[in-house]
Amino acid sequence: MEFRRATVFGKHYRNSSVVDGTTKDTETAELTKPTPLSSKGRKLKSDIAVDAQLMGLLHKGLDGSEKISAHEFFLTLAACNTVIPIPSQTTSEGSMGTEIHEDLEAIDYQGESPDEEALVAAACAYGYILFERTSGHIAVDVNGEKLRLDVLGLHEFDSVRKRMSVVIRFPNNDVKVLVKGADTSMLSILREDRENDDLSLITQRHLNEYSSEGLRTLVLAARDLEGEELEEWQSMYEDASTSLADRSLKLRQTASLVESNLCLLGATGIEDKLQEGVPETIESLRQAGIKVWVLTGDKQETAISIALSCKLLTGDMHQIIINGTSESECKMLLSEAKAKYGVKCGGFRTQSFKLKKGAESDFVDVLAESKLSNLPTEDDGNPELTMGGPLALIIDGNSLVYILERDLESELFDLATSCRVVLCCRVAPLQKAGIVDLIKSRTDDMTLAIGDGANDVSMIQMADVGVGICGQEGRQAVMASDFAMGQFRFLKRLLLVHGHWNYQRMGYLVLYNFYRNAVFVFMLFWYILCAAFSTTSALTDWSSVFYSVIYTSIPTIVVGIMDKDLSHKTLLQYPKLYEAGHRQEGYNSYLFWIMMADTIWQSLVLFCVPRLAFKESTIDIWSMGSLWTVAVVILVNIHLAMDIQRWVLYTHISIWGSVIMTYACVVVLDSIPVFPNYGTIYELAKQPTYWFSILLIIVIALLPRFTIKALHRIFRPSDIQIAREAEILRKRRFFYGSRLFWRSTS
Amino acid sequence: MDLDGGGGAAAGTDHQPMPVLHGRSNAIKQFTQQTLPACKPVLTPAWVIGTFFLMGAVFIPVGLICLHASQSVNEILDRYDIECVPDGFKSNRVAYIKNASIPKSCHRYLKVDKHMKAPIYIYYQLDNFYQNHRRYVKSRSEEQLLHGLGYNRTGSCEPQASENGLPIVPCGLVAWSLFNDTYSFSRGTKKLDIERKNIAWKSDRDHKFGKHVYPFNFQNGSFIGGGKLDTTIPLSDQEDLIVWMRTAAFPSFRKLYGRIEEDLEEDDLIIVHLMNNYNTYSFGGTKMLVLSTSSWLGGKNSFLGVAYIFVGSSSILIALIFLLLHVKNPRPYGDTMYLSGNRKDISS
Repeated sequence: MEFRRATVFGKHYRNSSVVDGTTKDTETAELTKPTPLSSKGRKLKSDIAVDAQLMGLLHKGLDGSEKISAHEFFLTLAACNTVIPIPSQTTSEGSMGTEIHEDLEAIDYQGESPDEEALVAAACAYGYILFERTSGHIAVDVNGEKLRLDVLGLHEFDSVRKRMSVVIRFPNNDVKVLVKGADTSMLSILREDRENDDLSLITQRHLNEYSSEGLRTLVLAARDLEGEELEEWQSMYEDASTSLADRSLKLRQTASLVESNLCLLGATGIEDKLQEGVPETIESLRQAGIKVWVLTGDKQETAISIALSCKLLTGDMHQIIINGTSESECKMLLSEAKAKYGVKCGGFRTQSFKLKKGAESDFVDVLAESKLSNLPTEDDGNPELTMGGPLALIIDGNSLVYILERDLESELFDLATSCRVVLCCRVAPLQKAGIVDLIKSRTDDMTLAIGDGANDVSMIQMADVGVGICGQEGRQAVMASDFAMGQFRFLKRLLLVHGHWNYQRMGYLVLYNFYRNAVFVFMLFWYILCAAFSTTSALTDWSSVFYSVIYTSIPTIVVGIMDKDLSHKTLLQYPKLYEAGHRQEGYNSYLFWIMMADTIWQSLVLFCVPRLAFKESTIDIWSMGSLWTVAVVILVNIHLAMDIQRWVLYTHISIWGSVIMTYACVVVLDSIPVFPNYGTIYELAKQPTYWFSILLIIVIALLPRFTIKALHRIFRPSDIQIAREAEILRKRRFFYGSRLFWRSTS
Repeated sequence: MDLDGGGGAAAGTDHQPMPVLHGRSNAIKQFTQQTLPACKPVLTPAWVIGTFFLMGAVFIPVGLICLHASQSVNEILDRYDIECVPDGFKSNRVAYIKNASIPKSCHRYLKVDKHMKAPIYIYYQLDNFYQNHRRYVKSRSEEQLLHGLGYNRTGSCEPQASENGLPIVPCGLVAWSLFNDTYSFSRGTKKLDIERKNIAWKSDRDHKFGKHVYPFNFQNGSFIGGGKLDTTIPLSDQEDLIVWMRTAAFPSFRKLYGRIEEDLEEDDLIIVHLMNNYNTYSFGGTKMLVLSTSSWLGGKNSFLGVAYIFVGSSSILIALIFLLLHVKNPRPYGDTMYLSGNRKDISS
């Protein structure tokens, strides 16, 4: 967050960017270096570039409305906030230390939002240093002169008024109300006279410039408060702030009393820097078939400029802009857009369902970086309904009020889902949740919301997956989220790498666990059919219990933790591989039924092979049970082993260990004379038929599965399979390459 | 097959130099970062075709050997339960078998088709006898078999736990239904010796059936199940009982009766003197006498041999099909041009 631009009294100033050498600012040359702040020995921890001209104006000393405006402008910046200054003693150091006294006081600001901190820091840079705040007063150091201001009342920022104000009393008993807020909410409450109107026009022009540069803007205004008005406000404020019921409503009414007829001071432009790697991340997510929507509280121009800078919007996109001020206007704009770009009413859904048949699409709402932007996403399987380039829908909060509360929701949905990008600006926190809900309730798609501010909380909670960025804007988003991360770009890793791995593992393990239990139960079931339907179990009771608990459980866990189909490098390199999840390649009803059929085949083989191999023989029920116990355990473990993609030591230990463990348990159980199965395994193991039967069971049971799997892998490989082969090929080349290199050098 | 380089600098885009960790902490780090050395098998055509050929090459010879072993076994089967009923009782066999006053002896003549090498195993085979019925299997007491009358918690043996207020040893339905047909053999006029010892498992004789447990109050009720036991012989020596109490897994089963320790020549005529005591008529079961030699693989059963040959030859067939498909329709290994995103235009 950095203070970049200011317009004071209709005059435009830009801050230098000495601190950030990479900025595009070309006029750095004419700007001064950051001045050592104050002779009093207070300084801000970070340096901020100041505009020489503006600085000069402040120090000129002559009177005049421009000077007064500038003075009040910075006073507002310093006073109208909830920032708490934290003084900290630092030992003098460096070049500054040589000329400044030992008790150099550094001030650290802590505010509700980084915006406020940036503004106070800016005021500080221009010599208006907020250095003390108590509940009753604040103290500002104005160019070395201490100014104690009594705070009579403070109307906090809320998302309805979109502004905040303080009422302060100067030492000379003047009372002023200082207001700062969003331009839309401020311009309507300015005093209406010619001078102010002109000023307002100029300021608005500057504001538009700022926001199209991607800066976040705030308008500052002030006026004197005296006499009856003050008394009236005071009594009302007292009443409202001690009221038990409807306090916020009463405070709002009180605020409206003083927040009117204001005198415009100027406006600020704050740069909200994009985090590192945002454009790349968004591009990857898009390639991965995720639809990215941005929901931001910023102005439309700001939002568009940021969207352009993070490559969300591109030049070849048709922008559909919906800026309605009434329900009918919104309706008209929506239907116009739909007609123009050929989006069919409601038709989209059926169409998309046909296209995606069985495939699940994936919506991710992303709140980008420290922007209040957030981007929902969706499968890219949508028909491109364009007459050329892709569509981008840009819609503002006002229109959303009309659309979300009325019957236009479905129209918006039709339009929005056929656009590649949706950009919602000036969106209130609840509206963000409303938009997420729009997608959640109308599609089966998964939504992910990512955001960093308190205003993203409702959206994060509404989405299927909520991600919070721990940033400068507090921890509310993180606390409400399912996943917390430090930077937006980690989202790419979270989804493309960890999301992919977990999906593959989960999908496979769900199938495997169905299989593992079903094959066992079916095997027992077939035996019942030839035991006079009397539910005899050939297996000993202990083996039945141990089957799930000891014999087959550990490989499941190890594979669930350790198995990876592709390396993270490959997954990041080919974001398209993420679409395997959209297409439900890992788990779907087709796979489920195929697997069930395979399960029945395997259980039949398990039952029939020994049944036929020991036909009309002397085999007893416990020998049979012992054979089945061992055979089914080996079978399910080999089945799992066939599907493991990454064999590490633990996998080997768990798979082969399970088989050994099973034998060990069987031997122990058969060595206890009170069990009817006493001595079984010792006699059984002497018979070659026993060993031949087990081998035959394993081979016949897995033969169809192995054949079909091999056919698929070789002749109809999935993307994942090809990427896997490529990965291994690459690594092998690297391996041999490095060996050759090593040989030639040694 | 490929090895995944182990402790390489792991995560992501930033390649910060990792501090060199040793031993335990390194192992934990490799585990948590999932950079353990790994083998990543891929089903390449060569592997698949090779595997199938190998399976064929192993299974067909094994199958042939099994089949040969099974073919070398000679068996004489004789179902006698119908023939041994006197003519007057053909229509009411149950009345015949239940009437103790009717003599049950019966003669059967068996012709030896091929030379049979000793030892020749004598089995009786019962069909449609569900020794694996749940209640039947559970109706026994292991502790009582081992400890005799000293053990009295024989609830599991119901309804054959006690008779006339006295406990039964051995209790339970399994013992109660003991098979009691007897056989003796003669070749011409000379009696053939039958070895009746060592027909049960040694572990059962030594540890499961008590050496000092004698039958008591057995088969004394009004409802006679099967054979009686000699009360002077301890259970550990009652080998017929021990064999019988290894309940069979399937409703059609054989149990060992004894061994003939001399060779039978081709065209020998064996006369079987049997006592047809056991009642299989009431439940429609059949009784059969089996004389069989054995091979290293056991008795006569060609299933394993046939199955192995079948699996082996289908493997070869599948291998050939794969080979054909692969030659006609090869796909470059690991060519990322085949990724669906590259095949189509990238749509986003």
